[in-house]
Amino acid sequence: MNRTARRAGDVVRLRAVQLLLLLLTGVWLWLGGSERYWPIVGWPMYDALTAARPDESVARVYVRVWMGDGSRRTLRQADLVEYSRAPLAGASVNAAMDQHNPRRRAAGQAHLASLVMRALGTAAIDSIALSQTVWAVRLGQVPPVDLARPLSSVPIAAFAVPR
Amino acid sequence: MNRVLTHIDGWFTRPSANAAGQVGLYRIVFGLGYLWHVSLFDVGAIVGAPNPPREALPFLQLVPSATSSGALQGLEMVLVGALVLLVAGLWVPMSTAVVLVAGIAREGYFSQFDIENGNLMLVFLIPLLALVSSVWGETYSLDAWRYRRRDGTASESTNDAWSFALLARASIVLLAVLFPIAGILKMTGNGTWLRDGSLLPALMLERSVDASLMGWFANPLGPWFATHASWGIWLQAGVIVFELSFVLLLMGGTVRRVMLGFAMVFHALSALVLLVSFNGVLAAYGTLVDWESGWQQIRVRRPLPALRQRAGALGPFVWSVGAGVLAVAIAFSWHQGAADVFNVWGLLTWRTPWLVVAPVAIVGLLWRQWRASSLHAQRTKQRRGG
Repeated sequence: MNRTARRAGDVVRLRAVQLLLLLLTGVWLWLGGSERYWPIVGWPMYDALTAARPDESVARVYVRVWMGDGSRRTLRQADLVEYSRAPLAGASVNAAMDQHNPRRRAAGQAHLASLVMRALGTAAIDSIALSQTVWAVRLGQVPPVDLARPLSSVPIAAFAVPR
Repeated sequence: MNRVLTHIDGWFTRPSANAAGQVGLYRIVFGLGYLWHVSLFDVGAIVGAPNPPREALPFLQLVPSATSSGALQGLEMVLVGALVLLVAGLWVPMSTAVVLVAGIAREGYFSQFDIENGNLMLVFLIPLLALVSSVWGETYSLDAWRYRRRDGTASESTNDAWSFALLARASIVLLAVLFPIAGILKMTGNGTWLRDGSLLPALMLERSVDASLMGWFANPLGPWFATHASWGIWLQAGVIVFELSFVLLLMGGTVRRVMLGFAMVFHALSALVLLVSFNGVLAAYGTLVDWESGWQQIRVRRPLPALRQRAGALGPFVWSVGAGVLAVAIAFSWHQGAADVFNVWGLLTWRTPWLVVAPVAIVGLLWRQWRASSLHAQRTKQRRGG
């Protein structure tokens, strides 16, 4: 490629980049905070955030797994998928505990079992139990929760995993 | 109007030291970073998930529905293979296009559960701009090696032509537009940041509890914010002002460097204290790092000369075949363990980059401040002496 052709190509690329940036900016401004046309989204980052001061206690669902060899493993939702993908595990755990809709509960339990198998790297799982553990929150302390001293732990659901 | 357009063109077309090498090395860093990102989450995990909480986005009508884990893993394998080729610099325009399409589709499937705005920089904006500016394969690539052998047209890594800086300058524009939009949206419409004065303290406390429950370190300022929630409005206004001030990146020199330093500290603190995972934005900041200068420091020492000579003697064809075989091998073994290599068997989590970035950015800012102060003191002394 000679120098003149190279320079002409550079100018075309420059104009294409400028046009693209202009278009994206225009569309982002027009869309405002809407995420409907993903992936063209103008970063509505936490714009409508709501947050409340934590209560005096906090509860989390733990996933207790009975392995095929008789051993037991305990997983948090955060152990099931990468932290930024946590809503996926949350959707499964919530569905697996659904007392009103058996179809949704069955789908949730099947998906939760698949997430557990991925997380543990084995399909040799006998059963899974979900339990809700509650801790006291002391906002004046660091850390605000003493993980080793839960207030209570209540079983919520248990199901066998078909092999 | 003409003067404005000329000024804009002038901003885009200023030479930039080592631009050719910088963008070529960035391509390698981008590809490796993206492979790490993909390794953290197997998209096949979404198959069978009950009732996604969000309404399906129109985008998902453009891609086949995610009904089989195998199909999604196949998509991930295509993405991984293209990323390996991109790192090697083989068929760069095609590899970039595949990375763009497969990457958006992969991220899109997850969008039913949650949208990660920062990831759009990694999966959509940077690959798209790289494709349009089409220069990141011209250095440090097997393509460039082939061109050099064939007709000697490949660029030197020290080339400072503006065309090689197009991607970096486009990234600056993206940051200078997207962050102010985020700031504006926090103040207007449904924005809650100026309405609820204790929003950030409440979020900090919430996330501090979350961090404790995950066994991570809790926010040391938690107890203070628990009793001083009224400071929240100042913090929130500060975040908005900070986001609006990203337009300053359009200025060059010290202003941009200082702004980037503060941006790194801001993101790192958000990640480590507020557990806000925003790693994708690093793809934009990475375009602004002078990778070439760092590489030159290593290259002048000429490590392992015998090995380099032997590797060079093999020629670009053999290396291209090797890169192709490697891409296929990594793609096919991705879900059987290769992914673990890229996150060092779970050691490199989403928080790891920020544990490195935070101290580097803080030391960099302090060093810059110290150097500016000592230069000022030196000049004052000279003036008085003169």
